Amino acid sequence: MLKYIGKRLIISAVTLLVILLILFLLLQFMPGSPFNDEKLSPEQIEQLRAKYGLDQPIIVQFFTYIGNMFRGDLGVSYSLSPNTPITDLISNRFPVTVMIGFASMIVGTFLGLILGFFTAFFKNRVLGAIYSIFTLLGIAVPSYIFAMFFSNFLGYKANLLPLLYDFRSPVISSVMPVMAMSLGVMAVVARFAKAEASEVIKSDYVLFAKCQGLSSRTVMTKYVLKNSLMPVITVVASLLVSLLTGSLVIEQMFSVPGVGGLLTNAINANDYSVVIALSFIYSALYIIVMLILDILYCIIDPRVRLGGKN
Amino acid sequence: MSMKTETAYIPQDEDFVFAPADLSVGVAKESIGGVKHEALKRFFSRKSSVLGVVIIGLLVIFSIIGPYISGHGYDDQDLSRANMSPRVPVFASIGILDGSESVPKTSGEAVQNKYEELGITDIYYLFGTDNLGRDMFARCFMGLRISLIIALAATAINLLIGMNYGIISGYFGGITDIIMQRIVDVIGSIPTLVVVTLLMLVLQPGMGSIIVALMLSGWFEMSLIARSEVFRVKELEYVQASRTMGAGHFHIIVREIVPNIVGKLATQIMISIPSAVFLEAFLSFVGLGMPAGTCSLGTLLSDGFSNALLHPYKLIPPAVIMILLMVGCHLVSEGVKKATE
Amino acid sequence: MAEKRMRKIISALLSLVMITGVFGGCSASDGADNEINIALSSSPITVDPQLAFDTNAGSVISFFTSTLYVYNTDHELVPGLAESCDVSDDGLTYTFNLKENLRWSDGRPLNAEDFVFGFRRLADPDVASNSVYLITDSCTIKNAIEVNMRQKPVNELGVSSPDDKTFVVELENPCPYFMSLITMVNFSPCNEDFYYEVGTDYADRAENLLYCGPYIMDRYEPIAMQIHFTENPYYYRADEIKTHGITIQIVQNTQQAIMCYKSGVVDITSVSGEYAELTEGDPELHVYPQAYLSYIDFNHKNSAALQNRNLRLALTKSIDRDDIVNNLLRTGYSPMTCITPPDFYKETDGTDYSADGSRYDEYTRYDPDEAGRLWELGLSETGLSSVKLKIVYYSGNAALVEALTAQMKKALRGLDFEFRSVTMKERQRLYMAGEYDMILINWVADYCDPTSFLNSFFTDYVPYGYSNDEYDDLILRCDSAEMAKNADERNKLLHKAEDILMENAAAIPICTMGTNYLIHDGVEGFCLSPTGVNFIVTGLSKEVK
Repeated sequence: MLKYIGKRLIISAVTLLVILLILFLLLQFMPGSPFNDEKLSPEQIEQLRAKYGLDQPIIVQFFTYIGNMFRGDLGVSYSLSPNTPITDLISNRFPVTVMIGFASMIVGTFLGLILGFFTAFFKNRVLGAIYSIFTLLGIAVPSYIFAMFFSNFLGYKANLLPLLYDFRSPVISSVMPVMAMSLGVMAVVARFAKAEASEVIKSDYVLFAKCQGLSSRTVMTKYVLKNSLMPVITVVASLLVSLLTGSLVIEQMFSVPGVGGLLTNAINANDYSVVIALSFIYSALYIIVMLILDILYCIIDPRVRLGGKN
Repeated sequence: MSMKTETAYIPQDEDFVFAPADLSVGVAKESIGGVKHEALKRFFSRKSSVLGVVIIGLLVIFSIIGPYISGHGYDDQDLSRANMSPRVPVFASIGILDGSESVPKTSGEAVQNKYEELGITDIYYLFGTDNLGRDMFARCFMGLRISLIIALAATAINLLIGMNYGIISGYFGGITDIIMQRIVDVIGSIPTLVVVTLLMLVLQPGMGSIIVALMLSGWFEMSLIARSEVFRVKELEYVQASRTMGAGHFHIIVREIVPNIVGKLATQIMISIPSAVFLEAFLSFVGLGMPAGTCSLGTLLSDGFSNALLHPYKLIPPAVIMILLMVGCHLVSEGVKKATE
Repeated sequence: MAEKRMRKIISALLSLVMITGVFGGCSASDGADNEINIALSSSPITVDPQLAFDTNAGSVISFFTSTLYVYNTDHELVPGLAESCDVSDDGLTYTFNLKENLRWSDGRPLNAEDFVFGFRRLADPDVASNSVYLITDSCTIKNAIEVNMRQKPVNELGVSSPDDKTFVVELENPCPYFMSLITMVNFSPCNEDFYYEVGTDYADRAENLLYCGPYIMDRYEPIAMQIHFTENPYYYRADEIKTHGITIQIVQNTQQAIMCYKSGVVDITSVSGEYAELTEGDPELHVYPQAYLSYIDFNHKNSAALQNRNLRLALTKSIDRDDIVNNLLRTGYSPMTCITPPDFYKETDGTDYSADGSRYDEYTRYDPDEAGRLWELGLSETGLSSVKLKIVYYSGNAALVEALTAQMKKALRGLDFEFRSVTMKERQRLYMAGEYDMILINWVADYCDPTSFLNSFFTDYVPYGYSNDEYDDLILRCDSAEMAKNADERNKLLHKAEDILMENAAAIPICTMGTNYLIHDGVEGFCLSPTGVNFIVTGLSKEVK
């Protein structure tokens, strides 16, 4: 097992390195410089380039870049917030994004599991209809449309929830963003949970358990839930990353001081060092989540270790 | 050629009468044809799949004829007719959808009917007009057309690259597979949104760039599915049989493997079309979408979105079209999945 | 057993929900005093006064800093941190006498030395301020260019403090609008000791700045979504401050901002043009004039077609500005048929320099037939049969560009466009690299003088921009010493220069824009400087209901 984990770790590290290289190369292809502005002369732009070491040969830049990245130094912002270390920009924002992302994931997963399992278990007509409507809506409607709807009706017309994120009351003011983002998660999880649960219910061992005279509640919790949970977790984990990256429009809408808003601003300011740093963080996050999942799988299910060789 | 074990056996003339490859193809063809037929039957026996096909069919038809049937060009501007709310012929006479709207201005609701103000009550804009006075009906379906073209092109290229990549990787296995999968791992580890955004920054915004960006971010998913399917299929008896009978790699891939993974790929295609439309819409929100002079569902959505409080009718049609597209594709993909299981 | 555990989990979850509900309830209900909440559409890129560059930075920084001279709410230049100013006869030396007992927000005295250090930071190539053009271009402080190019040490910049209360600035050339220029936040003082105490973190956090304006910033982080201010007891007009706290809330989505305003969460909100319709007829809507010009600049060097005056004139005359302003841009905008916007600069007799909006009608008035005729004439002169122009614009201006190009195409036969929608920074790159035929520029003036707009058309100011020797000569003469003393004569030269631009259709002026703010009744004392860059907020107050 340790060998497998070690192998996965090395692969992840190499992947990260390659991503760094790709990102660095992309940075070279980015059009223009972050210093373009109506009121700057070419000499001043040169001055700024020299200040940030952008006039060095590419190779030198690359090694400085890699070295800095490994020391946890993501560089400084050039134009979005000149001279501010990107780690400073991100450190306050990341927790907010992660909090909202996790909250949406947990709420969505919770609701999705309930919806999916109950529909699979009870095979009730009304429940089936509710399931179909919610999953279709959740998958087909983009989260920003939900956000618009909520903020207009719940926030503005009914005046129930705050329209803007407020650091003084982070919980209540993130209810609307979380609601908007969790509906999509809910739909995906519900579909998966229903499919998995239906499979498990049909399986021989559940039938056997039923024949043994176990109550349906025991069968549900002991067999169905337990055995269909793992595949659901995989989906949820991959959703988490897309939740963190996909919250851009929602963050902008509710003025959430998170990394999504930072990315949009950085794109508009041509602040490529910030764009690239955020890309790197997103990628690293994804790799780490996948690594943890793989290791978890490996611990739970020994077959992975053998199958993993393929 | 599998002749090494039969040392004691002396081949006779009749052994060479039937070409082994021919035989296997005949069997496989028949069985696949049967499966196909069965699958289609099962697909159409589900009401929801039929509904999905109908929705997509209607959307495609409207994306072709929609821009021309309203009597207003999709790009005909008339600033004096900006922001007119929908007016529909029959409904207008009974007082709904007659072009009057209540604008929630900050100083209070203002009820207005621009058709009456301008004295053009004989003109009907079914979905209203946008802020430049262009017909939303024609624009919505033009936008749908552009978005569909983008999505279809991206998906087709994804399919072509992803399928081949996945099949080669899965079929040959071993070191080829390991190298190819490491490449996929690396590319797959950069979140789609990041890839698309970075590419759009490097390339000039436009239809071609959006297709390229969607393609570069989508092909590997297709390849993963193709690969895992190949792994499953290549161990099946008839593929083994075909191989034993001496069929070449190309032959096996094209005749035996591809037909058997079509179901899974079709499901994936139906998922990737709407997600391409989604991504295109996202790019418009970030300001990296289609440039002026063209429209797509994304640009219409983001325009409508920024006007939703004032003129909700600008958001509703593109949103409904997009939702219908998503629902349709979703139903069809479910149907395909169920039918090929 | 399992059931019990389940119940425990559920009750734990429920209590968690309740706790968070209580928390939320508590913190949401404060702010019943006279705190003022202001919604702005984007956060400042920096709050370091010397580095300030964009209007957002200008407006936020103006809460906590002050300059030698300031504009009051009636838009008159009045002494700020300075008591008075003596200008030498040649217009090259400005001697400011500072007020008595000026103090920074931590109580330490504010001296002329602090101004010297502040001005030096602006010129310092190591600080690399984007706003250095203010002292190298807009006006030229002695040695500023050499200092910025590292040809001279920073301490040779033409600023000095003979004593604690006297601050002297020497200029290379006379600058008639110097007093207006130094109201910009970039000319704030900066305390050298404090600056070196803080080091590289200067202005990164609220506590890493010293304040000399009406308010102290007590909550800030780079690209903040919320910035908070409290009153500054050491401010020289501290007795005029009427509110205890101000919160600036960044709300990028204007619809959301308007909803916040209507539900009372914010008291003041900026309203961007495209949402003007939502606020039309609202008595609480205030439109502040801004020294703003939206215009299309031509590529005067690369494009064969645009070398031709008739083709340029045809393009200019094919735009129906009234139509666009009334139906698309709406409240806050007005059509522009000249380069210098109205409500901006005054003639010596106090009349508006740009009052007569119709003075260039001959070259700019909408006349599709005449435009068509000029177009055909131009085509035959250049021997072209059709023209395809690449138009570059910021993606936020897409609707305006679509309207403009549709009008041009309608009036002019054989005209087609290639659209290039980009971010603001990218537009600037393309502008400098000449990768455009037409480019939509939105320009805000820094100081109250027509040259703030006219300089853009000086030869080589923009690499592929307009070039005309006669025009260059006029602009140079405006900067001369004799003209500095004769404002009337200078204004005539300025008018003449603008005439040349319009006659030759050097660019297509489109519109000017005021900034719109929704301000609740009971909130008083909010005002913008004449250029619209800074806030004037000392007397800001809110009636508590």
